[in-house]
Amino acid sequence: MIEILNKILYYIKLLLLLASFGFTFYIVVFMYQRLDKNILDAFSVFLPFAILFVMYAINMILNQKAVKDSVFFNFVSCMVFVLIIFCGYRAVADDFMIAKIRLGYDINFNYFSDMIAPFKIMLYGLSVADIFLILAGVKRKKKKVQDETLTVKVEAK
Amino acid sequence: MIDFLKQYCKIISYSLLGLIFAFSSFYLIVNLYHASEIRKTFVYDPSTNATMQKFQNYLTSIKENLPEIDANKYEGDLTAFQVMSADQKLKACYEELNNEAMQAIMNKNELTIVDIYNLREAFETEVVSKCVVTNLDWFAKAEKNQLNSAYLKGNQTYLRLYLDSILSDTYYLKKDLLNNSSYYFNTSLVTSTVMDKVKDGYYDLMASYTKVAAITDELAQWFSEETKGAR
Repeated sequence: MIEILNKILYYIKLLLLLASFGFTFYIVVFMYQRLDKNILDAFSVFLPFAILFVMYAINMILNQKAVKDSVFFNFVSCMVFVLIIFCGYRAVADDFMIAKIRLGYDINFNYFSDMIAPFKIMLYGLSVADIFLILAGVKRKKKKVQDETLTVKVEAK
Repeated sequence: MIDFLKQYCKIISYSLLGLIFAFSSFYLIVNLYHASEIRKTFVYDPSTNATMQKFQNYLTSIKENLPEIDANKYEGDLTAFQVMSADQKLKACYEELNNEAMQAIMNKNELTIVDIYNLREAFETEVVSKCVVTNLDWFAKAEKNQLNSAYLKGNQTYLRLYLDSILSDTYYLKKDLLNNSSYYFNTSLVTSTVMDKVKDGYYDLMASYTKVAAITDELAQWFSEETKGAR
């Protein structure tokens, strides 16, 4: 049961990562347009998404079991992305926040910019946790090979 | 040694994940709470609500005191121009007090924070700007030798103070309403001052509206007495 749940979470987190990045990108692009700022200045907002995406890609390509089998890691990742999507949705669609009406734009930039700092902390945290999980799951392959050759030699003798 | 380091990496990783879990849970719950809090409504019945009734009574009284006037029949101290000006200004005030946002809440049984915001905006743009500053202020500002009436001569200072107090009446509410879009770390103090402003906002705004309606009614009654023969 947990294995099935873990597999679902493992793949859903990738979809949620893309969706949360899309939402953030959409809002930040409009926010920078409104402020007449260069979109390249928003690099620091997108960087944690890019790092996390690279980490997930490495996990998938190298099939790292330490990450793949960690239900907690996959669950927390999904939770962070759900939070980003929820906040993005509120910034775009929550008409009860007066700043949205007051500012006259279709997006509540005031609210979303408040949330960017916590998002960054959580995304960087996930990347660092991923690195430590990879390190924890590294297998000492060389020693195993050496051990195997030694046993073969002993058997041959 | 390597196994020890691997265990150490695992501990660091899961500690970090625990922190992120706590952090994201907090933000998720606080956002859900904030979303539900700003959706709170105030259920009321405009036909029995005492505050609304008082305001509507003033509106009815103003309307009754301002029927069509024929300035040529007027035989008092004011000039025909002053009579027509006063009549137009009081009628304009009645229209501004009975603005779209006010009519909207008169037809509703449940008010949201957006209704309160619209009503406050209408108070600033319609009532304060157009009624108080443009029209009622004229009664307080007119030179005494120009507006030769015993009532206005005696009450202009009082009228001036009263109108000045109305001008900044709802500024604090505007600030509070805008705060509903930011919450940071929630405390009971933030909850009581920032959220659920619907009921408090309604009564605060109605008090300000009633204040303007009361002074307009007072002036309308004086004007009605002054121009009795010309109606």
